[in-house]
Amino acid sequence: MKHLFVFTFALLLSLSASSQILNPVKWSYAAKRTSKTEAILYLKATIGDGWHIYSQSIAEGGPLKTSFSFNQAKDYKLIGKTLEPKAITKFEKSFEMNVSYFEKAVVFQQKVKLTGAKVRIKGILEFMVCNEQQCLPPETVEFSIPVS
Amino acid sequence: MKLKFLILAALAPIAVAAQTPDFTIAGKIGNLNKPAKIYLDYSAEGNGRTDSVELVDGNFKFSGNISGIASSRITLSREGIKDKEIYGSKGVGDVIYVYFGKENISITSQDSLYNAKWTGSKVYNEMKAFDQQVGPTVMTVHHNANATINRATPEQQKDTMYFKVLDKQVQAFRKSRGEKMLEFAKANPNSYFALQALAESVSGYNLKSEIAMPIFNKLSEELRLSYGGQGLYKLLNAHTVTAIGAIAPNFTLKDVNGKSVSLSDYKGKLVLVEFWASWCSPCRAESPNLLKQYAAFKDKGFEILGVSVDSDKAKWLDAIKKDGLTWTQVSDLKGWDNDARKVYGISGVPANFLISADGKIIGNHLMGEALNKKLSELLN
Repeated sequence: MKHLFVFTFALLLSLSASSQILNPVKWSYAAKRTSKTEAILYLKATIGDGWHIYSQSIAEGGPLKTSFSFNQAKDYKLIGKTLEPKAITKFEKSFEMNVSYFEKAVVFQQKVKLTGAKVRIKGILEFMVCNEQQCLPPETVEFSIPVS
Repeated sequence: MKLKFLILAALAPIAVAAQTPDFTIAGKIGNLNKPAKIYLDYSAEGNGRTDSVELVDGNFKFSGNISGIASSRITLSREGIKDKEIYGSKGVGDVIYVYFGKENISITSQDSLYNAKWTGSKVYNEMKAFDQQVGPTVMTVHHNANATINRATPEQQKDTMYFKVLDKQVQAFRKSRGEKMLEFAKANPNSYFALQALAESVSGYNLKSEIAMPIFNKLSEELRLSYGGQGLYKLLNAHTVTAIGAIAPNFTLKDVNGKSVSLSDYKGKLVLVEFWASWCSPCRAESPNLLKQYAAFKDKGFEILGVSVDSDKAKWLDAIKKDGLTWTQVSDLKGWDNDARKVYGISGVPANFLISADGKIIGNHLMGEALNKKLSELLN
């Protein structure tokens, strides 16, 4: 599987006071063409020891769920929802509800239908990371995944 | 976050400027005509705007109003794609990332934006000087590394050693950029990009305040007092501002009923400023302990002031109710941009500061037993 270097979009280098001193989550992306017209995108979060990010399905009133938003374009179409592996689910007393999360690493997958030979799929993802002691602020990351 | 705002701004209708414009960008790219279109999105001092215009015999013109210096992206599409599609896969062709000020700028090129010659922009020239000194941006280097991977043979792509070598190159570049940015900031105290270099060093390279502050102090007064300068100053100061023994910086935020509450209102009491959020499990897990301590020491002069970094009022109120928190709760509902959060410079929640009756910081990050012990020492 190809893996690509990740960058967080740096155009609007922010001078606002949010400094990310801790950075326990690294995102990387890859794509695999499964047929002439279909491909699977892989969005991988590598998570530092002791930290966790949340599943895409979290009930209201809990932590912020991980979410993906793909830009629309003429040369590709999403097939179905973004899939995730089985998460760890635990009853969290502080929220009085079940909360699903991932530790160490997780690969999210999105099937796409392609109409072009070389397609670049862009979008943004939002996530939040916590450990036992604290949570870092929700973060938005722009991604751009080439499918060749 | 700012990026998200721009995307929203892109979908909104373009506001018609009523003032006389304080910048213009006029240009000529070959002899391009409809459907060729050029797109500008820019952001200055936290305000983002987007604009687009069709080319007529290669000519185009943008104008608008900004405060300070704008960072921008300019895209040329020969097919004239829809405005919002410049954020999609079609907007990746002829794109440039540039800064400009309140200037009358002209851009000319025979063929592409990428090769355009800029005249009339001092900011642009400074940016070029900066780029030349510190080398390509992180974005360019990652772009090139990814292109190398794409060109690699299937065998190479499976080879972890191959990736390690590439990764090493990227790391080496980062180190070199970090060093060069500091050199630039020292050597060009009047350049806006000295400020940018320092900000990038602090946010992206974990540059310590002790090193950054002396360089910041040598920047021109204009830069230090600018919007970006003030933001960076606050960030650099956060450590000293919240040191044990320091006077706790005052802040004023609205409570759940919209009434202004200041930290200074608590003079004469021992107060715990507790930063938290409804979505933060470890914060919520601390609630039972806070309730216990509050009940035990309330009558001995102990107060808690809850500062939430929530952005959704309903969720904030719901969490207060669920946890049964009875002390004063304040928030500006700006999320992580919370004004008090910025002044205190915390990097995660929960975080707290214990402030003495005479307004000095006497403790921080006091959770569970540690809080109980400290309060017992002070109040029993």
